[in-house]
Parts: sequence; structure tokens; C-alpha cells
Amino acid sequence: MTHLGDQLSAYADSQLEPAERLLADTHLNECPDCRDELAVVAGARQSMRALPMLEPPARALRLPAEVVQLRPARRRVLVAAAATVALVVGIGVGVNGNQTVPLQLDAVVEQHVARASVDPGLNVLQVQAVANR
Amino acid sequence: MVSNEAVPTWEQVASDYGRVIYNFAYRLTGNRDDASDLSQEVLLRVRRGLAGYQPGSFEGWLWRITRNAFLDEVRRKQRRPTSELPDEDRSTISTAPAPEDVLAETRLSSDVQEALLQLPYEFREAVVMCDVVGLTYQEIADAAEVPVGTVRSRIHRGRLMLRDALEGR
Repeated sequence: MTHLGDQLSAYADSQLEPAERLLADTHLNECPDCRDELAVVAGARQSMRALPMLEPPARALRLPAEVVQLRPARRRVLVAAAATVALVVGIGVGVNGNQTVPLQLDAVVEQHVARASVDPGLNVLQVQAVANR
Repeated sequence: MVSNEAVPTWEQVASDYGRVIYNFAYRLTGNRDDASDLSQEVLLRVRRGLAGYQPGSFEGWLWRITRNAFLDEVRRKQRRPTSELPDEDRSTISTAPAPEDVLAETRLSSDVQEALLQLPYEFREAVVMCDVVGLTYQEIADAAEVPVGTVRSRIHRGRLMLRDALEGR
């Protein structure tokens, strides 16, 4: 009778078809060599499964910063909104756009976008009112 | 866990699978920094890939992405000319647990990790997918794009090699 070989790991993992498993059981009853080999792979399997599950550091599960930033479509809206707001409140915005927009404006622009999304009729005067707060 | 009938969101994948992806990466590399980089890369690819994902074997799809990311990373590092350290240095650097791991890992588990790193890639991967990730042989076959019989053989030989590596110490 041929030895079980590869089937022994599948046996230890309960990955054999029922019929294969019956044949394997019969063989194992008669074959000390296969019983020894089964003990070896079962031991290695046990050692692997006893390895601790480690907690990943936070950065492992975060997308890199350049990707998590605003999605392209939204970003364009914001840049446009920033330009609008800046013009309205008379802040000079350089050619390189949002880089020269003062940081405090970000919150305003976010508010604007949030408002505009619920009230598409928001006009320039309202934006100015928001920006002046 | 993600069902095979629905397309999950990226956040769902990150929260359900992030930890096991990281552990897969750590067991394959033996290095926390590499494992973090790799986990990030996998999640990035998942994010890009979800749009085109057809409900089916989600595990197969996810772990295929994971192994491809790992192999690309290995190839990229091999192309970098100055990254290779002498063997003896590499073994102490790559397998010494970081201080925060010392409490979590017993001496025995660091022996197992070291032995695992001596296995050729296909065998290491098969054993880790089976025993750390907990995939079925069919899911491993889907992920590695090989027949189930090959998976069976790799797991069995991988475990025998692991025993030899542990005893050879």
C-alpha cells in the first residue's frame, strides 16, 4: 500500500473528502511510518497556529497621506470655492492657488461646501457672510 | 467577514482584514516595518481594485492582491543594489523581535519565525495562508493561482521543512 504523503497535512487540516479520509484512517491504522509523519506535520501545524496574532501599528492600516487627501472631484470643487471666497473677501490668491489661502479659510470653505450641498441656491453674498464670521 | 455576494467598502476590508493582512506580512517578512509598508500597499491596491471587483471568492481575490503586492515588493527590493546586508547581519536584524514584541512572543515563537524564514517562498506562503490566515486549500489555490493538489503538496512539504529547520537549530 502506498504511503499517504501529502494527504497527511490535508488530513490534519480536515481538508480531505470524506471518502479519502476513510481510506486514510484505514491506512494510518496499519502504517507506523505514516503515523509518525502525521505527528511531525501536526506538530509543525500546532507551532504555526500557536504564533501570537500581533496588533498592527496604526500606520499599517492607514492609506499614505497623499492618497487619503480629498478625492480629485471634491478637491477641484474646494479649490474653486476657495478662489471664490478669497475673491469675495478680498484676499489675494496667488497663481498657485490654495497654497496661499490662509489656513483659517479651510474651515470656511468646508462650511461653504457643506451648505452648498444642502442649499444649491447659496449665492455669493451668503458665502461672504460665512467668510466674514 | 465579507460575504461573497456583496461588494464590500474599503473601510470594511481595512477593519475586518487589516490585522490578519499585517500578520500575514509579518510572518512572511519577519520584520515589522516591512509588514507595515506591505499592509499599506495591500490596502491601497484593494481601494483601487474594489471598483472592478465582481462578487465571487472574496478571500481568493484579497489574498491574490496581497501576495502580488508582496512579490512586487520583494522584486523591487532585489533591484535596489545596496540594500542587501551580509547574511549574519540580516539574520539578527530581520528576526530579532522589536522590544514591544518581546513580551508578546515566547522564545518558542521566535524560533518558529526564524525557521519559517528559511523556507522557500512558495512553501512559506502556503503554510502561513493555511495556519496564520486560516484559509481553506481551495482559497489558497485561488490566491496563488495553482491547483489544489499543488497547495496540498506545498503545505505538507513546508511543514516537513519547518520541522527540519527547527531541529537543525
